Amino acid sequence: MTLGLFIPCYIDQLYPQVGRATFSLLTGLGHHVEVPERPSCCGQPMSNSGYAKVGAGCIADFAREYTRFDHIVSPSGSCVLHFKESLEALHSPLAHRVYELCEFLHDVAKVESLPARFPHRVGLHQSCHGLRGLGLGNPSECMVPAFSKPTRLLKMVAGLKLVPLDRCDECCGFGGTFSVFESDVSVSMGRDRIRDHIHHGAEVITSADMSCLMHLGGLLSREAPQVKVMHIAEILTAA
Amino acid sequence: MNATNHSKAAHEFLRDPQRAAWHDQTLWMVRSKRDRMAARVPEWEQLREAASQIKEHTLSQLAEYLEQFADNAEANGIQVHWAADGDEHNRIVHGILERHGLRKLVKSKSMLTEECHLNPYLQQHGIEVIDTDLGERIVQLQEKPPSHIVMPAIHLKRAEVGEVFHEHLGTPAGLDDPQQLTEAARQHLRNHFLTADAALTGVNFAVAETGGFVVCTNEGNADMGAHLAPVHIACMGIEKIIPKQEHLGVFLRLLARSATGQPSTVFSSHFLKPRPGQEMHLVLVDNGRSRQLARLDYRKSLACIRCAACFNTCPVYRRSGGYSYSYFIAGPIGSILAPNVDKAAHSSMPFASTLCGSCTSVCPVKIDIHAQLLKWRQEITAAGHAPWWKKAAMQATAFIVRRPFLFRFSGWLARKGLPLANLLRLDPWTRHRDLVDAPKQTFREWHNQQSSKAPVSSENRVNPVQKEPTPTP
Amino acid sequence: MSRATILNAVRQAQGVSPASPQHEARMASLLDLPAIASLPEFIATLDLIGARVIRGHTMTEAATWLRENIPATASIASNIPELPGTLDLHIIADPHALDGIHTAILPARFGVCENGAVWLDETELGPNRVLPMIAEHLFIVIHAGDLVANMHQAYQRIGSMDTGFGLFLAGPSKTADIEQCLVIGAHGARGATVFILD
Repeated sequence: MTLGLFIPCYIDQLYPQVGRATFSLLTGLGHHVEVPERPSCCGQPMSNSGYAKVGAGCIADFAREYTRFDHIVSPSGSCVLHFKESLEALHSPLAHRVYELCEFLHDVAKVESLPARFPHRVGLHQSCHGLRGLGLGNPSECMVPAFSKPTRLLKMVAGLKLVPLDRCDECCGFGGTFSVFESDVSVSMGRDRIRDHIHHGAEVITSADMSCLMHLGGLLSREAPQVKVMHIAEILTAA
Repeated sequence: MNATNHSKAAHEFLRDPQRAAWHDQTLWMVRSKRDRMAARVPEWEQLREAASQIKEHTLSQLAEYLEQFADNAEANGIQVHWAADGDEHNRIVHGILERHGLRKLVKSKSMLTEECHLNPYLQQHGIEVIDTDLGERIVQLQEKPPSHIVMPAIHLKRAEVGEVFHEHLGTPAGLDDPQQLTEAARQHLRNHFLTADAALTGVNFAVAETGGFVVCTNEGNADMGAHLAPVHIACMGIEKIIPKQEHLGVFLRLLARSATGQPSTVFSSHFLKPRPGQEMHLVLVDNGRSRQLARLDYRKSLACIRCAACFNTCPVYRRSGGYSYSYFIAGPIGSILAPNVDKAAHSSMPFASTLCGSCTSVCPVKIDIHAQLLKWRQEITAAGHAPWWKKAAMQATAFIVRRPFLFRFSGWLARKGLPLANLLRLDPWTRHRDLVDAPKQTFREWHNQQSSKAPVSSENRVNPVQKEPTPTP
Repeated sequence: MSRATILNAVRQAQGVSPASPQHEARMASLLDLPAIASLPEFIATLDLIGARVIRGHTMTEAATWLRENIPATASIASNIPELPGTLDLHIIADPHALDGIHTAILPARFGVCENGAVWLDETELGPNRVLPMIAEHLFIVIHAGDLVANMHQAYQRIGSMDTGFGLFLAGPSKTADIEQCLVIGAHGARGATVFILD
C-alpha cells in the first residue's frame, strides 16, 4: 500500500528518530511511504488553547495534501485524534482514513510478529488521546473487557518485559499549553507517573505519544536520568 | 468564592507537596472504590447508557415534566414554589420561616443552597442555620465553603477537624480520632435536630410521575431534620426531574457506586406526602439552568446527579483541591457549569485540565465533560477573556507552521536556543524539566536525503535504527 | 408568577423534542436482564455494609436474641406485635419523644440483594417516620423469601407507593467525611441487626 505519513512538528524538529523509526517500520512491512511537505502541524495547540478557528488552516492543508492516500499514519495519538475529530466535524470521509501507528499496525496491517528485540523492562504510558480518544485500549474507568493495541505489539518484541503500574492510565500532565500555564500541577502529575514506573522497575517508558514522553522525559532527565523514554515505534524497530 | 485564577491557587496548594500527595491519594482511593463496586455490576455500562438517555429525554421535555411533577406534588399536599433565581429562592425560604416565626433551621446537604448563598441570607435575617452533614458542619464552623460536593471536608486532616471541634464543640484538645469526633458531632447535632423549628433538605431525584422526591444520605441527617420538624422545605434545581419512578432504579444503582464506592447510600428516602400535621414545601429553582438548557453544546451538563466521580478521578482536582476553583462547584463538572454563570469570573476553570477524558469515562450519566471543556475554551477566548498575547501567539504559530520554509527556519532557531533555555531554567518548562538536545537533522532533512538517494521500497528499506536504548532526555 | 416565567424560559430553551424516546427501549432491555435474588448474596452484602445478620426459624428465636442482647432497662419501640417493645408507639404524638430509644424493631417489606437494603414504608414504620433514624439501634425482621435481586425488581415490587413516605434502609448510618475513615453510627442508628426468618 501507499501510505501517507504525517510527522508532527515536534517530532520533526526534536525527535526525528521517532519519525525515522516509524518510516522504517512501515516500509519494513512492505508499504510505500510518502511524506507530504505540509502541514507541519495538526493545529491542536491552537484548538486546545481556545483558538480552533486559528488552527483550522492546518486541517485544511492536511485535507488537501493527504486526500490522495487511502491510509494515513502518524506516530502521534494526539495529532490523529485532532485530525479525526476536526475532519468528522467537517463531514470529511478522510477522518476514517487517518490512523495512529499502533492502530494501523493492529487494525489494518494486522501485524502478528515483529523482528524486534529489546531485552529491557518497559513501562507503557497509555496516553489519554490514544486510550480514551482513539480506543487503543480499555480505559480503567470503563467496565469493558481488557485489551490494548500497544501492549499486543510490545509483546511481539523479543526479550521485552512489560512492568505493571499502580495507576495504569492516569494522565501524565502534559496537556499541551497546560504544561506551561499550569506547570505546577503538570509537573506534579508527571512526577507521580515517573515514580510509578520507577517503583515497578521500568528502565524505559514508552508511549504512542511523544508529547507525553517529552514531558516525562524532561522530568526524568532532571530527576532520574537512568530511566529513558522511547516512542513505541523505536522499540518496535529495535534490534 | 472570589474570582480565583486556578493556576495561581494550585501553585499555593502544591507548596506543600506532601499534603497535596495525601489529598491526591485520598481521592484516588475513592475512585478505586468506585471502580471495584462498578466492576461487580455486569451491566454497568448499560446502566450508564440508560441513565444518559433518560436524562437527555427529560431535558428535551423539561417543561412538560416540571408541570407534571408540580401538579402531582401539589395534589399530594406539598406546597410548590418557583424561584427564577437565587435571590428569589432565598426570599421564598425565608418567607416560609417568617410566616411561622421560625428561627432555627437544620439543613442537610444541598449544593443548590450553597449556590444561592442561602445561609448568609438567612443569618442576616436572624435565622440560626445549622448544617447537619458532618463534613458541611465542619466547614460551616470554620466559616468556609465545602471543597468537594460529596465530601465537603475531605481537604482537612483529622487533627484540623479536632481543632475545630475543640473550639466549637468543646471536645478535648488534641482529640483527633474520627470515631470520637463523629460521636461528638452526633451528640451536638442530635440536640439541634430536636430543637429545630424547620428542616431544609436537598433533592437527589424528583419523580414527575408521582410528584415525589428522593433524598439520599449515609448519615441520616436529612431524615432526622425532616421527620422531626413541623416544616420541611426541600430545594431543588429544575434539572433534578426524572420522568418515572422506575427510573429511580437506574439512578440509585449508579449514584452511590459512583460517588463513594458503596452499593447504595444508607438512606434513600422517598417523600411523597407531608406527614400529618406537617407542612412540606418544595422550591423549584432555575437560576441559569434554563439558559444552560438552551446551549445545545452544554445542555448535557444538566444531567449531572452530583456524584462527584469526576472530581475523584480528575488528576488536576486531586492535586489542586476544591478551593483552587473559582466556582462553588469545583472540578470537571463545575468547570462546564461555571462559564454559563459568568465567563469572565470563571475563565480559568475550563483551562485547568489536560482534557484527559477520565471524567467523561466515569460520569454515570455520560456527560461529555472533556468535550464541553474544550468548547467552553473557544467561547471564553472569543468573548475576550484570555490574555491578548495568547491569540497573537497562536496566530503567529499558525502562520509559521503553514509555511514550510518559515517552519524550518523557526524550528532551526528554536533548536539553537535549546541549550540556553536548559541552562537558564527560567521558563515554566525548564524550571522543572529538561528540553531535549537539538538533533543533528530534522526528520524532514533526513527524509529528503533518503528520497534523493533512492526510492524507498521493500527491497532496500532502511534498517531499524536502534541497537540499544537511545537516551531521549 | 415565577412558575410561568420559568416554564416559558424552559420551553423556549428545550426546543423541539426528539422523535421517539429511546430511553424506554433501554429501560426495557435492562429490566429484561436475568437477575435472581440470592440469599447468600444478600447476607454477604449486609456484612459488607456493617449490618449484623441473625438467622432463625421463628419469632420466638428473635425474641430470645433480643432478650439476651439488649439491656433489660433499654427502651424498645416495636412495630412487630410478636416482639413487643417497652413503649406503645401508637400513643406517641410527638416524634421528638422517640429520642433515647435504644432499639427500634421493624418489619421489612422486602430486601434488595445487590445492596443489602430493605424497603419500609409507613405500613411498616407506622406514623413515626423518624423511628429508623432516631433509635440508637435497629432490629429488622425480614422473611428469607422476601428478596429481590436488584433495584429494578425492587421498584416493580413497590409498584405505586400507597403511603406518604418510604425508604430503602441499608445497614447502620455511617460517614467517612473525616479523612475518608469509615465511622459506623453518624446521625442515624449506630448499629443494625437483620433477623432473617427462614
